[in-house]
Amino acid sequence: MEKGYKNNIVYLINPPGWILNPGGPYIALPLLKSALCNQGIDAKAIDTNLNSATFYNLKIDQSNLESIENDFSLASLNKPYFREQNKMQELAAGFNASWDIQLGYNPFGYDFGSSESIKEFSKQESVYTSYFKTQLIPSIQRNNPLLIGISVIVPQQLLATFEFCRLLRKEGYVGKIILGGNMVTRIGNNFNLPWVFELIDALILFQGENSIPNYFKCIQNNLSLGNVPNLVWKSKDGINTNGIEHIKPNEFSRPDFSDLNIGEYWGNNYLTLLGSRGCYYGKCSFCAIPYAYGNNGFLGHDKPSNVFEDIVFNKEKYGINNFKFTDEALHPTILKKLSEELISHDIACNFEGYARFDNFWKNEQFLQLVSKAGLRKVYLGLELIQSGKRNLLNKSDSNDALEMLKRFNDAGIKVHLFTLFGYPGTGVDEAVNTIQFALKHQTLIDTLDVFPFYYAKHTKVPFVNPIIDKNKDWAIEYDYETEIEGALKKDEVSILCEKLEDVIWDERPEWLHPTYRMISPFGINAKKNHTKQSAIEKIYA
Amino acid sequence: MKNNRNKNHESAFAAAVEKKIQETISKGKDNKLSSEPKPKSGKGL
Repeated sequence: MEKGYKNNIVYLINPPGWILNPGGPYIALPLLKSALCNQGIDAKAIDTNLNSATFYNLKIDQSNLESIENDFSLASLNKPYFREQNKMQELAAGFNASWDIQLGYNPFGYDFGSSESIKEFSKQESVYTSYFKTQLIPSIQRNNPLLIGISVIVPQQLLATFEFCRLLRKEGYVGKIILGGNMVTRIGNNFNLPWVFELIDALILFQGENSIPNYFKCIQNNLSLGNVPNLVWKSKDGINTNGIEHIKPNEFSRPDFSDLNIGEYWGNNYLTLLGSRGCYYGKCSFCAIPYAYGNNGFLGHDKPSNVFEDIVFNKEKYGINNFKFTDEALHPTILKKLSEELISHDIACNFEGYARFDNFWKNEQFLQLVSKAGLRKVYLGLELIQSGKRNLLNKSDSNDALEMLKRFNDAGIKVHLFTLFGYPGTGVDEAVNTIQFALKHQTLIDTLDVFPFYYAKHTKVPFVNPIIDKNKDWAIEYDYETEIEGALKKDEVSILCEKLEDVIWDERPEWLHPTYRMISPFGINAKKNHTKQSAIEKIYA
Repeated sequence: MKNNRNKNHESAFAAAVEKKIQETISKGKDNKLSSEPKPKSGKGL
């Protein structure tokens, strides 16, 4: 690689290791590309998570899903899934590792919560090495960018990130490498290790839309890095952590998908949208998801007219009518104004998003409006059915989930339920009763997840203390101890969740199956409930 | 010794969960868990 002249371009990379079956790109790179281009900086976004799978001809496409028709049995859903999963496992076996569509690549003996483990295993060859050496790195060498930014979203991407950095440096790349994203922000100061800063130049915490352009201009013009917000960087005096500045709603970027292989993602393809940054509630005591937005997990709402323009522009540009809101919780104001605009301009589209069981969803007129505008599915945090113990989770949402499920159903909006079992103070009874409730009302439910409680970094769970293992310095989930009487232990929570998942695999396999999630809600295969609700209620009374 | 105690405890806990599932959900129904493989649990989307 030529060491002298470097091109004034930023490469933005989504590293391998993220779940492979989403129908569209993670929204971080499209937002960062847009932020850079708005400041006159050339940027190229590369989804190496998708591209490394394509490198091995791994894919479940729309035609594979259509051939399932409406047979959502485990055997039928398994067919395309294990066709690809088995190929991946064969590839990984050569590296003494496992490679899973949902769980990423894991060599045996590797611990993604330990920086020492990542340091050692990132020196070894992996399933990604050939892709890095023959495709990604040569394309970088051809353009020799001044800066490479890598967005690390989940722990499963850490190993590939550092393997890539090592190979890139070995091939002679001397430009700047910065890491950011949800995972880097959550690990925070524990990232500040000498070996890390031998490979990379800086970290960006929280949102990077102001920080990356600012950093780029500083290195381009040889200016001090001391004023770049949210930057952690190495000087001759050691590691420096700059002040944190959170971006304001009028600085939110419009996603730019132009570099990405839109239409080439797995299953039914969609484009990603962002209406609000973070969670407008943000007080659920178990949840650390909004933390990395900054400002206690909430930065504010975008203008509904901006979101409307994103839909219209990208629908026309890519010919895709399906959109996924990646907001942590859809907000009624945004949704109402957006829906009115979509209807008044006669824009045909379908969309889905995460939501809370808040009372505005009981408003029939509102539901009719958003359904008419294209809302096809909501992903709701039920966690547990109502009981005195559910209040421990501090969700402060509606106490009438069933009524809301019925109203969603009446409005033609599908529902996914997240359940959470083993939260300290809740036990076997609450968990089993929740699954019994779900099965009893199964005609109102499209998909469901069972999650075991774990103590998430950056949360505070009353009367529960995390057990922090020094050897797992990059862990974002902790074991825990509590004096709450009868609280389940971590192993017990695992057993409880496995047993209840088995019940669902037996009764409604499509609820849990990743293949069905590539179909619903945008596929042409329509799920029909052949059994009448009254008959089901008798079975699960 | 400690591992045996843990295993015994886990088996007893699993049996208690099974019993609660039988009483609340299955109600004597013979759950026929398919021999088909199941995808590993991810973190959802």
